[in-house]
Amino acid sequence: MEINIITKENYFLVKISGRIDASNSDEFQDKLQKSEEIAGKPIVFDFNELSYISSAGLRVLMLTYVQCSQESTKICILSPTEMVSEVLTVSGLNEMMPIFNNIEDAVKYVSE
Amino acid sequence: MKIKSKKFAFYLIIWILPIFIGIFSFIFFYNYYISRELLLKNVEENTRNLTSSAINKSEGVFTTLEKIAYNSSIFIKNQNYSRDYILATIQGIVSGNDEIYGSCFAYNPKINPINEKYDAPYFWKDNGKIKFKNLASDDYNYTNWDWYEYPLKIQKGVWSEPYYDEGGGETLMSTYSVPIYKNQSDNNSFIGILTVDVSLDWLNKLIGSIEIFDTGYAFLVSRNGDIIAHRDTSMVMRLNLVELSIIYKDPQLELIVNEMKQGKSGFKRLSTKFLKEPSWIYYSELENNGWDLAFVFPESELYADLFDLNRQIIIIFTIGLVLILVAVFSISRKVTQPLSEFVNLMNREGEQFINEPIPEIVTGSSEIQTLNKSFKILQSELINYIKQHNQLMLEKSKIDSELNIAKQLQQSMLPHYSESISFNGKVGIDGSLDAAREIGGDLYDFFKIDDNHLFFAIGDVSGKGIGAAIFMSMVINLQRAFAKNEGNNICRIIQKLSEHISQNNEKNFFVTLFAGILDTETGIINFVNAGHNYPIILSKNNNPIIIDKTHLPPLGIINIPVCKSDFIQLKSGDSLFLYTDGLTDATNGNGEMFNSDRVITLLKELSEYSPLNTINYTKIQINNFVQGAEQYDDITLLVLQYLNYQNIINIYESSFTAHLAEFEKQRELIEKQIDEHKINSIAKNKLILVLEEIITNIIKYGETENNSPLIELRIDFSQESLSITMKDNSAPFDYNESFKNTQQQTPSFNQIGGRGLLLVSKMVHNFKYTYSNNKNIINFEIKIGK
Repeated sequence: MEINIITKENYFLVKISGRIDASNSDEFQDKLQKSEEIAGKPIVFDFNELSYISSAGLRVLMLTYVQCSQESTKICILSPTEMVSEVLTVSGLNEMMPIFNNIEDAVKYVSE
Repeated sequence: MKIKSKKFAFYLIIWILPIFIGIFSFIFFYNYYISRELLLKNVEENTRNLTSSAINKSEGVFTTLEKIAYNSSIFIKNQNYSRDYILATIQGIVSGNDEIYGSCFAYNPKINPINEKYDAPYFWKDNGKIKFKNLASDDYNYTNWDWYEYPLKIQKGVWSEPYYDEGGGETLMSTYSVPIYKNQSDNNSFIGILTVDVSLDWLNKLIGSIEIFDTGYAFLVSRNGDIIAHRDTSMVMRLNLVELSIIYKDPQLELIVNEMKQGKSGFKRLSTKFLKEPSWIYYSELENNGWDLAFVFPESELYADLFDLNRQIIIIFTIGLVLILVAVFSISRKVTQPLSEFVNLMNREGEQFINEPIPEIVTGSSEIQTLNKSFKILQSELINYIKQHNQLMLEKSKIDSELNIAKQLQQSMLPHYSESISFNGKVGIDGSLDAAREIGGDLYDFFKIDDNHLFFAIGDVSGKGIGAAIFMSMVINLQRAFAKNEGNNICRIIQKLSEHISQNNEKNFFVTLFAGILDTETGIINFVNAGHNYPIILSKNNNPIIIDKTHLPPLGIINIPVCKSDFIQLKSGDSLFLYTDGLTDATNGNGEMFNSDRVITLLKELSEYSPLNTINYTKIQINNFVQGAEQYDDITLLVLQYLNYQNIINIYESSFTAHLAEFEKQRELIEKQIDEHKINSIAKNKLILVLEEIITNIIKYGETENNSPLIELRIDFSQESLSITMKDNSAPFDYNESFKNTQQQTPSFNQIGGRGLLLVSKMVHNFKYTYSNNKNIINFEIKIGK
């Protein structure tokens, strides 16, 4: 798993590649939470290169969502793979963090 | 067995001894009681005589003295009580009588002729000399004294209570006072009182000299209760019975004292401190002065003879007892000795009893000799019997060995699984026949008809034993022959079989039969059930299914004109379980039958076992159930398993502990195999996701303090799907229930975790959960999309 956090003007673009499963979800959580600069702006998770996510990863996403909603910022998902998309849909996370297939729609959503 | 004379004697004694002792004790105590009563009566009688003689003696003395006083008083009255004459008279009384110590005449002061107010001339003996003095003086007003006043009051002579003489001497005295009247008993004509003082020494000597037995004695009691005469003079005038009765609070002594006062006689037992030992006492009154004479008999002495007698009786009894014991011993020995000898003679082991002749007994009583003869007859009878028995045993062993051969033959007729019948691994089949006797009437059979057809049958011939076995072997051979001719037509085979076995079947044997032909390509079975127990299909993820079809009655009674048949299809992995009623009718010691419910319960656990294991496991369960109770019917089992793994392209199997690190290793291996078989990555990721979620769940709920759960994983790969079986030995976790919950309640909007099982439930097909043999077992499939 690789995490690359890019700070944009109005949001953070978080690019994740590889897998998020029970074995590395703690690491994922640590990396997100320790990035202090990530606070205060909405987040766009770029899941284009994320091949796998399990409920352990969903848990971290939910934690992040709860944190953001306290700051009244938004979260959305950009270009997930088919498997990840199905997991997000089946688990109902897409209700909270909509899925977009291009960056413009995603940025538009988080900026509103 | 050995008869001991001791034992016999012991029982005799146990009975005789108490009876003997009982009778003796009764006689002994009765005798003692009667003797004692007689003795007491006798003693009382003797004592009464003795007492009356002593009393007569004493009364004689007292009466004589009274007469002297009385006669003198007559003289005094007749001589006009002149003082001179009175002096002469009383001096004469004193000097003329040894017993009389002194004598006095006390005038009635009112009629004193010489006008002396008080006058009481008195003579007494002092060392043999007669002395005189006048008792009357200014300070001695005798009219108030008892010896003067009391006789006056009762108007007759009276004896005083004993007293010691005035001179301080040790002589015990009593005074007889007699009133004198001019005219008889006229108080106005009262002249005076004449007294005679008497020493009681003679009385003491008399009483003291009385001896009864060795230590018995007599004593005399005054009216007041004072002891006035006693063998032991130290007691005289010292002890008073009235006082003693009060001091000792002795009711018996009180009673005696009272009776003495009333002048009664009596003979009573008295145990009091004043007597040295318990004694019998006899008492009777002296008429002169109301004194009481008492005789004392120490009880020990009184009974001495009685005790002597008793001692002798006891000695005689003891001797008698010893004699009886000796007699009992010798009699019992005499009675049992020949018997013991006989017992010793007969006390032989089995072989010896038969082979060695019993010796003749010449001694002993005729009963023993009769017994001896009887035993000799018994021995010869027994020898004959054993000969016959051995003959029978020999014949039986011949039959047994023939039966054993028949059993081997029958068993060898029954097929077992071999590679040649496996149809390239598509068929697993095995059977078992446990006959209730050496050979049985059950049957099973299976054989290959052609490259993709298997014939199998199970049957139960009516009756048991040799007849049934012959009939059974006929059925097997006929159906093999007809199967060869008729090929795949099960109805034709059964019809032919029925036709043949119902001919010349005079004994009316019949057979229930379930026969079928399996198409090994499709798993379809074409079968006929002729009155046989319904077989059961065991399917991997389903409950057992009972094939409740019957087409024909049992074969053999009538020739059947029409035959019907049915079809069932086995899926890959399904088994067909066939049995005879020996299984369901197997009965334990309590009379409970194994019954079909237990069969179904048992089979639920066996869906994944091989035929041989299913048969073995069933037999173990039956044995556990019957617990060694006798088997009444043949038990036959036949299990056919269909395994068409045509579609399976790969099987992954492994077991590992429930740790994430372990799962990581597994994941890599699984992914590698999936990639090798070019299965698309969506299915791969779904599989991994589902496995991860379930294992995470097992870790979360199933871990105990001691052990991490062990997970057994099997994945069957086919072109269309991945079929997964997971078993774990953690605590039961009901996935069905859990899925119901996660699907009913979609996770709340901002619930953070708890989505794992929701994902599983949404991503798999044909999910099944069971808990069996302490394991959670999960089956599910993941479809492989194009």
